[in-house]
Parts: sequence; structure tokens; C-alpha cells
Amino acid sequence: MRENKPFVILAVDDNLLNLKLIEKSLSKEGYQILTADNGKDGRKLAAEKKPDLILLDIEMPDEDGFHVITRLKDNPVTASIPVIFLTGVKDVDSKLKGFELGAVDYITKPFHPMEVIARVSIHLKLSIAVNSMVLNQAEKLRQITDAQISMLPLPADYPDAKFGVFYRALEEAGGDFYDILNISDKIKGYFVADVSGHDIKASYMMASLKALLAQNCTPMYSPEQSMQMINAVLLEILPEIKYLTACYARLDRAAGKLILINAGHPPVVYLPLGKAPVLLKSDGDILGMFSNAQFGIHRVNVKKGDRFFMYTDGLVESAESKITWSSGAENFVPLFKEVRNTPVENAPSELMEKLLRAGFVYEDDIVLLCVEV
Amino acid sequence: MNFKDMASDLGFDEDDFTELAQLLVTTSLSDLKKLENGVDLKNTDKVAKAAHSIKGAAGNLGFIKISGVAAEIESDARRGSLTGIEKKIKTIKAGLNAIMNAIDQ
Repeated sequence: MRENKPFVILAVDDNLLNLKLIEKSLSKEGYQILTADNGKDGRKLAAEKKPDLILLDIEMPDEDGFHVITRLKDNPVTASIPVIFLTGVKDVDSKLKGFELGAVDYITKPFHPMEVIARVSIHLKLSIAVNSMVLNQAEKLRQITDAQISMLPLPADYPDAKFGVFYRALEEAGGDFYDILNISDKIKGYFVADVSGHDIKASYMMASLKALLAQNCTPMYSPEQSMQMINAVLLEILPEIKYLTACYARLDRAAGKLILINAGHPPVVYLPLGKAPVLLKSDGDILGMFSNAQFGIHRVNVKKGDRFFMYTDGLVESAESKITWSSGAENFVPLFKEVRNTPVENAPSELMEKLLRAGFVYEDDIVLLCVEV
Repeated sequence: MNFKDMASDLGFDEDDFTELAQLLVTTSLSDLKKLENGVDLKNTDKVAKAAHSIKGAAGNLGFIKISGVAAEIESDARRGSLTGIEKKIKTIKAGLNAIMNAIDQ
């Protein structure tokens, strides 16, 4: 019973006596019984009422039990409902075929009502346990997602940083990350990274990265030194197969100086006021892999109104279309000028809308950060 | 034929069992018609399916003799044989009559 609702069992058998026998046996135990005397009606009832368990006869005219279970498993609405076969056939092949098609058990006819009750009870318990496990895991993932999102700063939290952001994780736990750093009143840091994989381990990296950035991106260190320090720590804490690509921008608005550090990451798109967008390409080693990593560095004199875009490879790379980020980035550059006059907070999401309208398909996590000088 | 004991064996009360026995007679007579039709047409597949249905239903309620004879008919028919089937049909009919008499008492 759940919240005083009885468990619902659907029995599908062309023999009316068998249906009645099942109905009487199980209703005595407090179950609610639905019956169908043919496969087609059984499937329809299953989809409409979503019973907790199905007892299904194999030998029926028209749609036999094998056909019915195949259709049930093909339908997302009914796919997870446990099915117990009722069979008068004793050959092993027939039973194995039932298991292969997704049955959880079988009851041989003639059956004793007490056996039906016992098997229904045990499979409901198993089903409840599995569902509960799935729900628990989903809840844990949701908590991770919530924690992850809470770590990502929003423009309203950093009004002086003048940025807009689009963030989308492909799964509950994303591997892309960004952060905004108040290095001083005049100097802000912008960091975008892509941890290899987009699983739970990748998402745990976020908390570590955030702490590392806060510790190392300070006025004391140059941007390159900050990345070297972070790389050294990551080398110690990351498993061998884990690494990240990253781009760190330090913007001194008062001095009009932008310094970009590239660690194996797609190039920044720079959109000077009134001019065409350009890619600021620079080679650099990834973070967390090499002790003597060399990073790409760009120093750009910027003016008020200039914009630059940092993003992860999910924006420009497509495994399906075999587009690498180096060629993908070139293709996307002309699009950036179309959001030149959009308020900076909205520019990333508007750019994504334009991309989606042009046929863009999500294949990976995405961060798209737009900063205005 | 003791309905009370048979009901108890299955975990039912006598009234429930009587209702089920009545249904067995109704469905099995219907299956018997199909079976006899199959015999007339020498359609062994039809005979086997009807016999299969009687076998399972009677067996579920504990009417072992009816179930056993139906199993023999099914087995023979699946092998393509209808030899001696008339006598077996009579046995099933007699068994169903006995159930009806027990219900009426």
C-alpha cells in the first residue's frame, strides 16, 4: 500500500476462469485487479492505468504473450512494469525467451493461487526496492546539480564585472565551469574551464577549482603565475586520466588592459567596439597534466564598449558532424557581431537562440560567457 | 467431490469456489465445442488449443482427472493424432456434469 492506495495488478489471460481465479486470490490480499482477456486490451489497460505488476499469459490467440511483452517494453510508459508470465508450456526455450524479452519470473499453469500471491508479493517488493534506489540516486544527483549551480556566479551577484552567461549541463552533473573573481576594485578575473568528462567526478572538481581560484587569482600574482600555481595543485589532486582545458581573463578596466591565459582551450572571441569580431588564438598546455606547462598568453589593449566571449568546446565542436573546435570556432565568429547591441547580460542567451534557430544541436556541456569592458 | 476441502486447499471459502467451479463448467463447455469442431475439421491445432485451455483451467481448481484427460488430448493432437478422442471427450463431459451436480446440491 502507498498512501492507502492498493497496488494494482493487471492480469492478461484469454481463459476467463484463470482471470477470475487470479482476481479472487489477489483481491483477498488487498490488491486492486485489472483484467483483460486478450493481449491488445491488456496493452491498452497497461498504458492507461500503469499497474504495479502484470501477470501475462503466453498462449493467447492473436497477440500472444511474447508479442505483448515486446510491445510493453518498447513503450516508455509501460517499460518498467514488472511482468510475470503465466505459462502452461514447460519447455526451457520458451521460458528463456520470456526472460530475454524482459519478464521477471514465470508461473507454470496449472498454478496454485498461493503461489501467485507469493510471487506477486516478492516481485512487488523487488520493484519497490529498485524504484526506491533509482529515486534516491536521482535525488542525490539533483542535490549535486543544485550545489553545482549555486557555485556558479550570476551577473546580479557581480554588478561591476559586467558580464552575461549561458550555462547548460548535458547531464545532472556537468563538467563545464566558470567563475568571476574580484581581484581588486578595478580588476576582475573571468575563468572558464572544461573538465574532461561530464560525470559526477567532473562536477566535484568545481568546488576544488573555485577554492583554487580564490586562493591564487590575487593581485600578488600575474595571471600566468596564478595558472601555474593552480596547475601545480591540480597535478597533485587529479587522477591521471583527468585534466581540464581553461581560459583565464584578467581585465583591468581602468588601465584598458586585458590579459588572456589559454590552457588548451578554444580561442576567445574579441569584439572591439564598431569593428569585426576576431579570434584570439594561442596554443597552451592543458591544466593538471604537465608539471612544466606552457600557457598561451594574449595581451590586448581594450576600450570601453569592447566585448569578449569565452566559451567551452560544446559551443563550437560537434562529434556527430566531425567538427573540431578549431574549425568550428572560425565558423561561429561572424555570428558574434549580431549580439553587439544586445545588453551584455542577455548576449549569451540571445546568441544561443540564434545558433539553435540555425540548427545547432546540444552534444556537450556549454558555458558561454560575454564580458563588456 | 468435496467442494469444501477443494476450496480450502486453494485458500478460498466454499462460495467463492462454487462460483469458480461454475465458471469452469461454462468456459470448458465452450472450449469443448471448439474442440469438437476441431475434431470434425480434423484440425489438430484447434483441438490442441482448446484442450490446453481446459487442461489449465481444470487443473487450477484441482479437477485433476479432467485436466489430465485434456492434457492427453492436447499431447496427442500436437503429435497430429486424434485417435480415441471421442472417449476422452466423453470423460471430460462426464467430469463437467459431475461438477454441475455438485454445484446444484
